[in-house]
This record gives sequence, C-alpha cells and structure tokens, in this order.
Amino acid sequence: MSMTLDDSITTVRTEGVVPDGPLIGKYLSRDKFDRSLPIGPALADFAFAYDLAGTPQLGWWHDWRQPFLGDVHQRPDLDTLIQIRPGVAACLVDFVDVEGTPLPVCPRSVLKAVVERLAANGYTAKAAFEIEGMAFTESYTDAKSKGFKDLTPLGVPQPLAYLTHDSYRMRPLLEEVATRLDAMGIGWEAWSAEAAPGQFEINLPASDPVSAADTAARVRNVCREVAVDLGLSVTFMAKPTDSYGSGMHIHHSLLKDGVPAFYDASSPDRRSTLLRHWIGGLMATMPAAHSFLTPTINSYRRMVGFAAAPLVVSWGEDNKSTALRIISRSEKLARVEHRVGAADVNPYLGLAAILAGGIVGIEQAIEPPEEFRALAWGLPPRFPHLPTTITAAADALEVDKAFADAIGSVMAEHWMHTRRWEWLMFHTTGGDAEASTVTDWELERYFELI
Amino acid sequence: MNIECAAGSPPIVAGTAARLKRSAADPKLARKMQSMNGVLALKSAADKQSVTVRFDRGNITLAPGVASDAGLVITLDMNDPDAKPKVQGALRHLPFALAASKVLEPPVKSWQEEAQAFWAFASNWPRMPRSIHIVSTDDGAELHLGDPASTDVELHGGAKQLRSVFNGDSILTEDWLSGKLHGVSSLEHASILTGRSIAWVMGEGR
Repeated sequence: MSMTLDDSITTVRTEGVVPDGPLIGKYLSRDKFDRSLPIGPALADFAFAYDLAGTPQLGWWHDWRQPFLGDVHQRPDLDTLIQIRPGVAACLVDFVDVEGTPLPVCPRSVLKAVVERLAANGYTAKAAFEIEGMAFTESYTDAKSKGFKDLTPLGVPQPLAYLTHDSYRMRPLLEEVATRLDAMGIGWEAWSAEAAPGQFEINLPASDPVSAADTAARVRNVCREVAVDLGLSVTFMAKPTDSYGSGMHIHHSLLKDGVPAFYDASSPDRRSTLLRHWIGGLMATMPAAHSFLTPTINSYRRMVGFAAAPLVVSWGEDNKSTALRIISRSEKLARVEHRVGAADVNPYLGLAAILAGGIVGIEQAIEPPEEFRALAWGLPPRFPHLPTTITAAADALEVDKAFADAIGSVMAEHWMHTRRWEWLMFHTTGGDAEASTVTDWELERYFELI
Repeated sequence: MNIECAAGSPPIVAGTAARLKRSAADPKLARKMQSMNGVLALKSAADKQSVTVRFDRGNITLAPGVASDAGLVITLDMNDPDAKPKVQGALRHLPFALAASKVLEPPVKSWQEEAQAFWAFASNWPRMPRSIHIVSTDDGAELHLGDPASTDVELHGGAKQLRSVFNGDSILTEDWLSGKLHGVSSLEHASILTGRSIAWVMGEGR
C-alpha cells in the first residue's frame, strides 16, 4: 500500500480515525505536506474531545490534553501513501502531541502499542475484517432531509443473503468501490448482498493488525465517497432499520516466528495451548471489550437472538452462534472469528480490544471455560450474557484492570467516560429511552458519521 | 424515609430522586413526604425524558417512563426553569398535587451555602481546582472556597444562577457556555467541575 509521491501529485489528504470512528484530516498542498513532515499538519485538539453531535465532551481529563485549547498533529505514516485520484494522494496518520508523542487515545497508536505488547510476548498477529453496511438510493442530502428514515434500500429487499441477482442490483455502488480499491492498491476479497434490505458485506484480506485496520477504515470511507459521487447513501450503523443489523466480524490468528501458533497437530482437538489461553483471555475480558466492540447506543439494538449477533460470553468450534467461532480444522485455516463487533466499531479499537483480551489470556495462562456445544441464542439467564447497554459495558470496562492495562489505561478510562457521555447525551438531548426500535436521535447522530 | 431508584437510572430519574432527597432533608417536607400516597409522572416538554414517582407513605420509588396509573402528570420545560409546568390530574388529586408541588421544589438556601455544600462534595475529587472565587453580580458579594492563597477558577453570575448551579438544579458548564455565568478557568478545571456538577445534579453525595 505504499508509494513514492511523483510529480503528478499536487494534493495530499491526511486521514486519521478518532475514537468515535470518523476519519478526519485535511487536504494539503504538496508543498505544505512536505514541509509538515515529520510531525504532520496540526488541528485543534478538540477533534478528540467533541462527540458526534459536535458537543464538547466534558467531565474528565487526562494529561494528553492541553489545559487550554491547543493543537494535536497528524503524523503521516508514509508507508500508507496511496493515490486516490489523479493528482491526489492520501496518507494515514497517527495523532501525536506537539512534541510528536503519540496520543494515548489515538486509536491507531493504541493498536500499535497492543501489537508491540504482543510482540514482547513473542508473537505477531494477522487479522481480517468483514465489513457490513447498508446502502440506500437517496443521496446523503435527501436522506438527511427525511431524517434518515423510510429510505429506499439499494437493490430489492429479499429475505435471503448472497442472491447474485440482488448483488447485481447493488453493482453500481459495489463494483465502483471495488474498482477504486483496485486503483488505490487496497486489497479486497469479496462482496455480496446480505439479508437485510440494502445490506452488503465486503470481505477484506488478512494482514498485520495495523494494516488490516487501516484497510477497514479506508474501505468504509471509499464506500461513503462512492455513495456521494453516485448520489446514494451508505451507513455503517449497527441497526439503522428494523431489519437485520450489521456487524463487523474480526478474524485473527497468531504466528510465532512466522509459523501459525493456534494449531497443534499433536493435540486431540488440534488446538495449541496458546490458543486455549488466548480463548481464555478473550472470554475473561469479553464484557470489558464489549464496550469497544459495541460502541454506540445503536450498537445494542443489533443484539437480537437468532439474528447473527452473539448474546452470551461463549466460544465454540465452527459455531457461528457463539461470540467466538474457533476454526481448528487445519493449520492453514486455524483462527478465531470474533463475532461480537457491531458494524459501527472503530476498527483500530475493536481489534486492539480483541488482541488486548488475548494478551491477558496468554500472560495469565487463563484456561477457557468449557466449549459451548449448542445454539447460543435464546438461552436462560444462567448463562453469562454480554452487557446489554452502553453503560453496563462501560461499567464492565471500568472494573477490568488487566484488560485496561493491556489496551492502555488512559484509553480505557477515556473510552469509559465517552461511553457514559454518549448515554447522557442520548437521554438529555432527545433520545427516546422507551423506544424499542432505532430512534430519530440515533439516525441523526450516527447515520453518516459512523 | 426511603427514596429509591435503580442504579444507572436515566438522568431525569436520578435527578428527580436527588431533588426529593434534598426535600427530605427538610423536616417539614419530610413529614409531608411520609404522608403522601399516590403516583405522579414528570415529563419533559423539550425531549423524551420522563419519570414516574410512587409515593407510599415514606417509601418513594422512581422509575423511567410515564406509568399508566400516574394520577398526576406534570410536563416541564427542562430548558427553562421559570416556565410554568402543565399539570394533568391536579383537580382529581388535589391534596396529592399540592403536596407534590412542595416536595418537588426543595427549599433553597443562599448561593453561598449551596456553594459551600457543593465544594464539600467535590473539592477532594482528583484534578479539581484548588480554589474557586465566586462573585455575585447582583450585589458584589464574594466567596472564596478552597486554598486561600490561590484562585484557580473564578465564577461570576447573578445570585439566582449561582444558587441553581450549586444546589444541583443546573450544570455549571452549560450555564457558562450559554452565557448565564461568566468565568475564568482552564479547560481542565472546567471539565472536571462539569463532571462533578453532573454528578451533583444526578444525586451523588446526597
């Protein structure tokens, strides 16, 4: 995904993902971009302290913030330079302070730190994202004028997924997305129509964790930009309509010295000790990680039984109803599919939360509970259910000190506060706490920005 | 007296419970609350917030929403404390309505007393300013709380607004951002004070 800027490039766009998920940056003249290196262009540090409605998030503080309004910088990662249009390049960034120190709440830097901690344990990771979204025939402007309600799904609503003729109806959007990704050198593996009206899935290739999250962030942005250009709209809300919700399943595996480390041919179940401990960590930290993996008020509406979203802390071999689907049938395929993530997850933070949980497992040699060998929906209360509200997940995050240490204590604390803030804003700025379906408040806040 | 709402209750529920606890601290109102029996609901005219309060002779429980058996439904403009509430059911439940109107309006003290109570609640919180200097723009009265050798934060406002902030009826930074109060503060202190102010409104420390 790297390039050297040639003379045809006149503009470079910086791209960085903030905790709530939006990709933010500036279009810089080539000269300004070059002069801004290595620390990159500045922007107001409030970019990290506004919520999605533009309200300053107040009530807590960390030392990375300046006591008055100040700047942070977008330090370009030149390995991520790509050409996105004739004459225009784009570069992913890490958010750093004015001295160049990574912000402890920069999602990309948080993921990098978790990957480094994994490396200190002797492992590297590979990860791959499944992106789900929903597309509508209205432009963003028209959709907004309708309050993002009663929109017309792209394609014709069908009760089944994978229908090739329905995918064909979504071709204007998704073939253009694929064409642009190819031109930018961003890998993709497959796309298809999904079961909800207007719903699609894009499967991305496995790579190192930071590159995988980079790709996920960029692919979602390309989807939005193609939608803008075609007069359509796309959302990555977890539950924008009453139909099936959208998730973001995250596949991952570990390697030691380049060799897959989750597989052990000598073990009866072909699972390595490492995988056992990794599962143990993911299970032990899942309530806390849930806060990152289901980040918004809307995320929790996706948590419906028998509709793909996991509801209980559980794992099983090739079981798509459990939170963790373990695949151990061959060395080549050995991996964990983490199925908790909602579509609106920040890919950097979602993956960091998963890897942090696994790290806790291997550092503490946590044995997992028994494998779940049944359908993990419609279960009685005795099973350990995942948090069902944004505040319950924040509470779980607050008490899990091992998880917080692994993902970064400042990030964990900041995130916990922002999730409680999100809850407060929902209740005090027009959200309907009694509503059983998506509310106007959620659509206004999340449809375009998540 | 027992005033209960579930942990993690929505702001209007927790805030109403906090107001009732303030009333219960007044002996006369506490006696009134001990004798009240009925169900009322408070609704926000500005948004979807609502709470049902059940009075059962000293056992008071609060829950989100408007219960179908609420005899009294009061609609409030949450953005305008001076706006007159709309009340349904008052004629049919007159004694209860009269009592409710009293206990939902806790007695107010001077802004200085309210500020001292807030300071006692908040001052030990991590990263709180060492001191606040408060000035009433009505009469120039001043109050310095905390370290006498420093002034980390200054607040200026009318006595009514100062009282509203410090007794937990409104949130400090909202009043600052909207121009009801003026202040001198770092962003850090403003943020921490906001957090404590929200907690105070929601009943923490009551």
